[in-house]
Amino acid sequence: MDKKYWKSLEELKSSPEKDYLEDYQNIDRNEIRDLVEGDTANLSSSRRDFLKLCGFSIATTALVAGCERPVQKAIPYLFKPEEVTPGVPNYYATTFFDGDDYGSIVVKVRDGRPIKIEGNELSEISAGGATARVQSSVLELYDTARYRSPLENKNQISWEDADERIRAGLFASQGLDGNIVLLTGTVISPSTREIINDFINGHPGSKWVQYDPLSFSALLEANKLCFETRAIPSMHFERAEIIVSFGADFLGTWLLPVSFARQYASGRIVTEGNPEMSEHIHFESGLSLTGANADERIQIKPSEVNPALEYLLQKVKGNNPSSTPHYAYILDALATRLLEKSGRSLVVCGSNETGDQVLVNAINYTLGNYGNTIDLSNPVNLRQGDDAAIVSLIDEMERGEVSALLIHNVNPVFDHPLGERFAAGMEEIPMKVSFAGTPDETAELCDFICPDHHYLESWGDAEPVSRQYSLQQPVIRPLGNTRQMQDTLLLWNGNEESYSERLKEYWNNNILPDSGTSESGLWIDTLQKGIWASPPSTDQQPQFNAQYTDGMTGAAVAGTTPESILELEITQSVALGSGKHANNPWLQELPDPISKVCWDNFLAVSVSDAAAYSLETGDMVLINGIIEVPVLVQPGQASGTVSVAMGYGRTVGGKVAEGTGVNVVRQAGYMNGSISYRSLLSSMEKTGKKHKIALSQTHHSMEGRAIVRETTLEQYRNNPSAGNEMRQTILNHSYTLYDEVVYDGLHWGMAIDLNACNGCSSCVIACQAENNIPVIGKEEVYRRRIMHWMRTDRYYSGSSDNPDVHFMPVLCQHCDNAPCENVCPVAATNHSDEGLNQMAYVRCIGTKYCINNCPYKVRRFNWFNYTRSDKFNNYMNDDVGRMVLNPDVTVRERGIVEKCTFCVQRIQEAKIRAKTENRVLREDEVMPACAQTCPSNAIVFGNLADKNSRIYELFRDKRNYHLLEELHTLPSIGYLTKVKNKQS
Amino acid sequence: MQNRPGVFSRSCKRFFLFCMFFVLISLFLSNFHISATVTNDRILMTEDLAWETGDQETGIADQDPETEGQDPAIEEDVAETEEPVTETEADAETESDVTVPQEEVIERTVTSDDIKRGERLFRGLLPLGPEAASCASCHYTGISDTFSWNPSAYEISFANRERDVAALRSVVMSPVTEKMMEVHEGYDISDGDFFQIKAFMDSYAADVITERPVITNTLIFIGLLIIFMGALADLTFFKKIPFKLVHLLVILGSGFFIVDMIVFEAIALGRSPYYEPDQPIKFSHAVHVNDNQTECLYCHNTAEYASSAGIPATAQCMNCHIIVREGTNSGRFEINKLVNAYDNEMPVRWIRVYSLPDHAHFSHAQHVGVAGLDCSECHGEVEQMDRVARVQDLSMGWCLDCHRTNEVDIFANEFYSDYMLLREDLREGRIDLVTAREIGGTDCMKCHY
Repeated sequence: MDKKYWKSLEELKSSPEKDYLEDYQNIDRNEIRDLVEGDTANLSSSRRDFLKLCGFSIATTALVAGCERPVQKAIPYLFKPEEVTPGVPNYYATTFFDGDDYGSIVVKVRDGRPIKIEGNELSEISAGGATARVQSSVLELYDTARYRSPLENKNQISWEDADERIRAGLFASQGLDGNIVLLTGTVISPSTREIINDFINGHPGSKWVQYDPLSFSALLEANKLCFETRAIPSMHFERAEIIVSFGADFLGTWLLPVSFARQYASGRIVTEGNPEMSEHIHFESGLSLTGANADERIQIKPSEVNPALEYLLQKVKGNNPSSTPHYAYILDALATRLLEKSGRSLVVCGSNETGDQVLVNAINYTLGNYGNTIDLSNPVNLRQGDDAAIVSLIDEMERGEVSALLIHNVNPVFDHPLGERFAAGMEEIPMKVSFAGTPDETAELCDFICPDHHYLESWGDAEPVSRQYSLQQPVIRPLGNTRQMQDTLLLWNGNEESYSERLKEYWNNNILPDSGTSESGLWIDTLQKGIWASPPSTDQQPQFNAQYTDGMTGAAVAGTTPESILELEITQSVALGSGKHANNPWLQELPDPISKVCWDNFLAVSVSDAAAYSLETGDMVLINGIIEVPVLVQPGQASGTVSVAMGYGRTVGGKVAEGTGVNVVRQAGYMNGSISYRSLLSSMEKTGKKHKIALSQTHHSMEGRAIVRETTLEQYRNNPSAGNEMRQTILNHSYTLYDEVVYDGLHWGMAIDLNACNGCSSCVIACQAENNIPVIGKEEVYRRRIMHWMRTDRYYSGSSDNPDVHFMPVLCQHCDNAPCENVCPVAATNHSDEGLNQMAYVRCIGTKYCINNCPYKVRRFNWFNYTRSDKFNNYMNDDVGRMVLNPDVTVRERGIVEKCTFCVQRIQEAKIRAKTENRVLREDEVMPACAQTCPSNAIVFGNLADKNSRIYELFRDKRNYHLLEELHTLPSIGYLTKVKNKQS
Repeated sequence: MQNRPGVFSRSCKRFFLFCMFFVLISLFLSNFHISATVTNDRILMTEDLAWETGDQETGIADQDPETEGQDPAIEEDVAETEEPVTETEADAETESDVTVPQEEVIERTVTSDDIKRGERLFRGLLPLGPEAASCASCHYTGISDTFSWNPSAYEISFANRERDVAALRSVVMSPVTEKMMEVHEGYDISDGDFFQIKAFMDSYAADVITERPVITNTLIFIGLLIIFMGALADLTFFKKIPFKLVHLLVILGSGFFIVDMIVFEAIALGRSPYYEPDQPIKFSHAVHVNDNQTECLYCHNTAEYASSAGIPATAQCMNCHIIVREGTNSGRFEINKLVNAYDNEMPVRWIRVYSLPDHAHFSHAQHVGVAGLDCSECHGEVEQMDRVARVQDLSMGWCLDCHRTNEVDIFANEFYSDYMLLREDLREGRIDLVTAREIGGTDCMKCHY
């Protein structure tokens, strides 16, 4: 392994020793002084002051602690609900849909409070997995920024008053010239669609517009042109032997990442018995999560996508292309490989330009992928928004043709490129009503706010993919005086029925089969399972309308770009997406899987451009003369392009959202009927200012050792130990003076398949939610104190222009020969009989010896009172926010060390359950939060002492190795070598 | 020595400062523990019977005539176990529908003389009738550490504070329960007297809540400190006692006991064995478990499968108390609190006796459901307790003692079939017994996570 692995550019440039010295010399002393708050650092103090303070504080504590211990109350239920047992959680199946993302979920409810979200294993889409955004949505339920009652011009009013005034307004506006407009995000709920249509029919002169901040308008348009059906097809990455993506980040942000990640992983897992995996070629400009996983990543500028697709289409068709792009040789080879695998390939494109999508359709059609890897008969119903419709709505608003605007679940003032015009247009409207549950920029401009429930308080249903339904049920009573949008619409339409009744009626009439007597039984059963799937349609795929392909080619090409001008690409971050969840501290502190930046968006600049513009990470630049944004030098960024994520820079939205990052969506354009997320930079100037970028990675560099072991498919076929040859050498050299420890009964272990892991970081949030891990804020992350027990390390290898990227989830390795255990002076950390590296918080005195002695740097120290102090004003310092805490896990105090416990609370719970039922512990029964949520099933947990278990087998796989195993720490976590499907 | 005041001022000032500081801390420590073990029932009453206020009248209106009729039968059932010394009194609510010859109602404002005379009547300084016992002889006005079935003066004052004199009169003069009849028989109280008694009771109920004086330990401690400081002061200032040996002995002796007390209290801080608070309702485990033979698991029914044993919901109490409205010992006063709570839909706010800190996770399912331990192994003879007291200090040492010594039958539960080596060792006689320690019962993360 002579490939050089590096984690940051600085590390690549300099030798480790020099790096270390330079770092030391470059320490900003003032910064260290800042750590001591205020001016106290400059004051002198003596031993006597210290003693005085000491004595005084002890005496005060004694006084203030009072003379009586608080009397604890034990207040039982008045009437105990049958299904509730104090301390025993209940699980309810429901549906997450925020307008952008979908997830069929199971919610853990402890003593009436939802505290954790898991993917629904019965759902074909979620299949037990959940993305970071779905996982963290439970925290938003307890957001103190939520509206607690209806408002009129920001004054509290009662629902009766609100209803009366709004209905009067709606009635009055029917007489006016303008229309009533209902503006919503994509509605995938069939019953809600019916209610909205009833409402539209009940109010003559009204119309319904759907808007998507993350638009798929072009794809829909293209399919309408090509197939006369305005729909997004289902895609089957698991059936594709070769996947070609033009900028579609389908593992991170594109359409249905949770479903695609599982499909993708299932096509990429190799075993000795089946050494076959799909091939993935990725064309993009900014380094995305999906691009990082590709076998081959080709950097192209956004403007080069169209010519590339055109060239590829001609090649696939067997024609001779007229133009020859400079990367034609790659496309030539690609075309050959695609043709070899006709019907077993898949080409996707993330561009929101109709021309590009028509070309992709033509390529897929030529390759015969329709009906195989692409299914238009069972379309995906997400992202139905029409970009043209909202632009024409803005025009109407400006012309004063809208008399009333009802807004649900969208925030165009913030996230539409023409948001300023939208805001100005709103001033022309006599009555504006928002259903927003939390404050946002659009609701801020509305007369009435009729707050909707949080989705965990709501009834509902969803049809994310045609004929695959899921139900939504409330898992907690509404926390505030809110009302569900559907109920409100029903009421305003003069309908006395409640939505929950309507929903049941709709399902019994339209979705559930007429099963005679057991009808209500089927409803309850479906509600319990959360999903209902009708058999998928086996209709013929629609006929391709070839005439459009020629007309479309080149239509969107805005000429060749001069070399001197940078192209700007607006992307989405894995954490925040469109910015709807910007007030969620978990998501804000989730490091971006690639850049490892949190609490900020940034302008990713390629290494060569950074040199040309003499920029370095942290410099502020002014782009297009209006937006100031910090720079991050990003290896892998195509030269001549810059990328920046949308969703940041909220001005209204809660204490966490406001003031983090900058809103860049205005730099996106509107072109040929759809929003274009690319543009040319008119200028980029260095302002000379510096910005602190909070990076979670750089502070635990592993200094050039073989951390990620990888091989190629070809080598693996010849030798299953390929890339992992050193393991045998290390094993041969390992000796010990002590007797081997024999684990009787239980010995917990975990295997992580690096081939399946795509670095999406869902596990990080799952761990945070399960284990009450505090959010510490940007300043503290900047000081390298991030508390996540689980992190996904990202390594680069090869050149800095287009590096290979490797992901590795790292958590406590639960070493059987743990270095941390030997150095604890108070035995707060030691080894359990089940192979767990235990951490007794109450015993810890905070010497941090263990942190220093841990080679994996997985231990975290509570430098401050992160959980109660108002200085960390995120969610743990208020009583509502604390409701999300898991009562089975201790909330850690200041001054102690914490780390991954292998979710010991789940182990204990499963063991006791097995014992009370007098049976053996089943293999799949114990599942740490990270393993449970992983959409790719990359993490396997189990009992190593059980020789029939899957984990036992995986630990004997020839790909298995341990992190830094040459140290003889004997970790309980095994990693499986990464296999890439490319020519070595 | 006398000529060197400088030495004194430097060394002794610090020493005295230290001592004062020491005293301060120790005082708080001792006070902390003691007052935590004894809960002032007057504080309880105001806090926890708050739900009783306001809806008194509703309670009366809701009186179910059918259950009234069944009362005597129940009374007979439990009569055998009745203790002769106890006396009972019914709450006013049960009497409202009993017709009493109404006399003229006095309507005038209450003066301080009324309250004073009322108090004298209540305490028995003025007779209530020939041979009649005073109110205070059963309804104690002081604060008592012992458990008594009789409602205290404060409780009856509080319960009657929103009723008029006529209502009080009907309660006292027309008792429905046997004990009350017996005791109240000889009463001959005029309307004026009733007005004054009521005036006193009202002022008593509205009285400022006073802390129960904590004497024993604190006083001993203060005494020891005075002796200690006195000896020290004599040694350095007054020099009245010529023999330094006396000083030494006194200082060492009192110092030893002071340190001993502080250490004891400090260890006990947060543990409080023998914690026995008054509960808002005088629920007696002795009556329910011992006399009436109710199974522990009838009420604490989640103990076998959940981590919490569970406190029964009020509705569950009403399973029996929908019929049982009069207790052997307590009459109707206590059960009426329960009925009121149920009617007013306000759960009873019990005082928690057994609780562990948040960082220690204990599961009843493991100990009761799996290990099959008897409740009494940790909770003592609850069936003998009228008022539940904690019998263990719930310290980690106490937990571990058991985990190290108690045998676990690893053949009894299928779960342990994974522990093949242990089973084999046991079968082959290489080991005699398996305790919780051998199967990880002393691991930190067994309880702390």
